Amino acid sequence: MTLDVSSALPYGPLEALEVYFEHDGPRFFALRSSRFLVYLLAICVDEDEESEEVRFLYLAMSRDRFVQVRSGQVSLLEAFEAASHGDIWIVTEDYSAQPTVRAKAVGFADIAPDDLPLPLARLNLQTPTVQAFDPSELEVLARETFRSIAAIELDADGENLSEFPLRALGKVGTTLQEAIDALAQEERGEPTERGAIKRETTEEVQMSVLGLRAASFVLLVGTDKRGRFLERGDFVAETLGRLVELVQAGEDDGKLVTAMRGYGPRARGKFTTLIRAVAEAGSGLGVHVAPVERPVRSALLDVHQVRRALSIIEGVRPDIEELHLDRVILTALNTTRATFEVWDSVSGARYSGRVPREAREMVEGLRVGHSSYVQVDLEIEIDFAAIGDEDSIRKYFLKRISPLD
Amino acid sequence: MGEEDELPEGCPPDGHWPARGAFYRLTRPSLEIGEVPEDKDWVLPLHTKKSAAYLKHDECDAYSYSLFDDIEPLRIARLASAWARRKSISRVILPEGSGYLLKTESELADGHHDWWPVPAQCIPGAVVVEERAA
Repeated sequence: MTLDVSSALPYGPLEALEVYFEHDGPRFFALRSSRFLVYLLAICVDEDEESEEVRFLYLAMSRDRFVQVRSGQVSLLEAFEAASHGDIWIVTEDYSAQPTVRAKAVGFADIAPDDLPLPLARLNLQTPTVQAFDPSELEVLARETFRSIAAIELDADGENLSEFPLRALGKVGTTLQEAIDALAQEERGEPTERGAIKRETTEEVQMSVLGLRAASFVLLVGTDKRGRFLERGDFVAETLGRLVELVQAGEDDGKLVTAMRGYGPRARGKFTTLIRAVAEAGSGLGVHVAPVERPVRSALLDVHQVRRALSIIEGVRPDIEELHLDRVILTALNTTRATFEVWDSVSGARYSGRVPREAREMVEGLRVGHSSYVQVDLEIEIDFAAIGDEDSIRKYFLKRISPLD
Repeated sequence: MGEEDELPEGCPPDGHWPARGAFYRLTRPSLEIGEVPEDKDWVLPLHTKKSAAYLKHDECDAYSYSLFDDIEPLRIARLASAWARRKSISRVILPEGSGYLLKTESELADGHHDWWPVPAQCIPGAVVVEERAA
């Protein structure tokens, strides 16, 4: 091949992948489309000294088929025999005047037998069973499937093995989806601290595993389209973009906490859970996101940066707030365990927490029950990145209490 | 650059050594066993219209020929490529002082070398050892 054949074939721009045989230039080689998930084998079949033409056979195939041919599971001839019409091309490079390329789709039966590879011809190259991760593939996938595609890059042991412990993968998968759910709530502008997230929000960002890539270990995920043809607007892409930004902030100690403060407790907590799951797996974390028709955005933390990010998050002191409640009912008091609960009958909110030593005298002799109205001042500790229910995010401490009536 | 006997800067690449020894190369289809390839069988890519390096005076590849240190890779290539089957195979002897060699193997063809002849018009001794196979 000496000329660019991209314009003569219907696979978009083609890039050279590898050369199997060269003799004063490549004579047998592989190409890959940078627009579609198509691989091509090209084999030089003839050269006409007088007309100054060189002819090649091109065979287009899927990535899976390419792996079979490259590894020798399928001979070259078998690959041509099994090809569908439209997958085989006779490509003629014409150098008689201005160099030009012509391509003509042919069926297997149309090829002169002498031009075909011999039955014994097969490649026998070590071929990874798991395709190597190439971020540019995400753009192609996003364009072809009309949805944002993300790749989550994990590396359990730093040895670039295409393996990852299943238990750890389950944890990472769950925490990743929960982090995305929480970020989707933020993207929608309606973050909540607890309770179920609205179904229409979680449905929109429900991710499915689309494939695995090597090495280390890369999970390709895309939104579960649930029958929809297109994603709605940029919602998914922007949500995933938030994840990239948070991971990116992890590269810089100072930026991480600032970036996380831009989110509510749920998103902070869920992101922390994801980082913790990755750290516990002894892994680094890469996030690559390809929105449809937009370039890939990437952020990458190695295993040390993941651990450091977790330690920074866990070291952030809780925020302190105060809350004054004018008229609430003391519904529970346990002096032995130093706990209390009050209920605001107007708003329906319940507040329960601890009675610190300095407030214990104040609660002595107080009645508990529906007629026991009290006025209280509470101190609220809001954990920077707690996970789970309300109790773990906000801790209430009784500062002052006095009976009414 | 422009003079054929002057190689471009950095050419041959690092790792090359002085040319010498026996090699194999695909040659014209019509040659028969025992025939000697002629001068017209030794045209550098620089002057070959069908080459990617045609008239590319600054490209190192424009000044080199493909040679193999064993005949077997050429026989294997013939299984896959009808173009290679239609060529004869010649044994080529590079005398001392005939230029530079660099091993430039590809996936399927072990033993591929680039030979930069010096002078560029250097024609090595060669003889056809296998005729076209198709």
